[in-house]
Amino acid sequence: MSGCNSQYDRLMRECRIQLPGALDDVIKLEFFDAADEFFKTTHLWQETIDLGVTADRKDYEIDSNEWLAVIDLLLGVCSNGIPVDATMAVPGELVLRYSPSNDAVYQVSVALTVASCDDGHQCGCGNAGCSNGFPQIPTWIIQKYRETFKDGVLGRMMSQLAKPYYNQVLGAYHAARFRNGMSYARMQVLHQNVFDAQAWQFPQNFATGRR
Amino acid sequence: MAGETSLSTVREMVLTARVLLMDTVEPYRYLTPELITGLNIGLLEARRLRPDLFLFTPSEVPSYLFTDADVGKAVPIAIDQMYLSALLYYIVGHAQLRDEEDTSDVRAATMLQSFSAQLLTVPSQIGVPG
Repeated sequence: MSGCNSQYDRLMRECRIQLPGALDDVIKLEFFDAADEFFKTTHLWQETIDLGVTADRKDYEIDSNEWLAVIDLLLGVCSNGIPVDATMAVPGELVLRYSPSNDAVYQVSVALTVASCDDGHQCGCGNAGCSNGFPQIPTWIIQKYRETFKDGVLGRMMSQLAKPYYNQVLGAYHAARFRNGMSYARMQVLHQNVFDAQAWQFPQNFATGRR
Repeated sequence: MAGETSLSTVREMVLTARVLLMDTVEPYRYLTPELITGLNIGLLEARRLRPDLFLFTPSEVPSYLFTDADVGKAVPIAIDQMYLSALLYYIVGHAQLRDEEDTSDVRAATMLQSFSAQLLTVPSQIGVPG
């Protein structure tokens, strides 16, 4: 396996052990779906995009600057810490409620999810021409939630009928663990990975004291 | 042949099938094109039972045309190596289907069942049906 995707090596080895007769390409296929569900449910993968706005213009197109990803949700827009009303009826197409009075830079926070290539092959490193079949996901997310992703893959794989690795009971077990893992991740997002912190709300600053 | 994994090429698959068919001495009872036909049909069956084996080429199941003139060529079989033995059992079972002897009928059925079992389940040992 390519060194640029070594973060997935352990995950793949663990999945192969529990899925006798499973093809690597099928595991990658289900991994993509599990990752997509994970990010859409938890909104864990976030990015703040600096958007240059011009006076008297309300419609803008936004896209992730550093990731091969799809914009899933608009979390908020602000200008120097002041919230700005905006909507995103179509992901990637930002519509401000009011036209800016002058040129400025707005900070647009979005939630991302994995993107796929047309031919089904893409590499997590994002390098052109590299195709290992994995979506591009930040390494820290894989490291922190590897068990959750594994449960998502196992739950989906073991639910496939007419396969050597089909197992109804274990499939349901891993699917339940996957849902529990997503709930935990959502809580971690609200607390911004701070122990015993109050829930974070955009775009306020973090609480200066703890409960 | 040096560097050639067993069963991974058409030539090796045919040679191994001949060992199971006890047909290794010329003139062969089961001609090479007939065994290759069994291979091609086995791939079609594998496509029906396990579409994931042909994930990125769902409408292009590989098909091989191999004659005695191709004996020296190493033509790889385009399927995951985990399921090459299943194809072997299909080739042997398919070849023996034409025989009318009772023992061959039983063996042919066993081989074909082993092919399906290896594709669909974990247990894969060849057994005599009760």
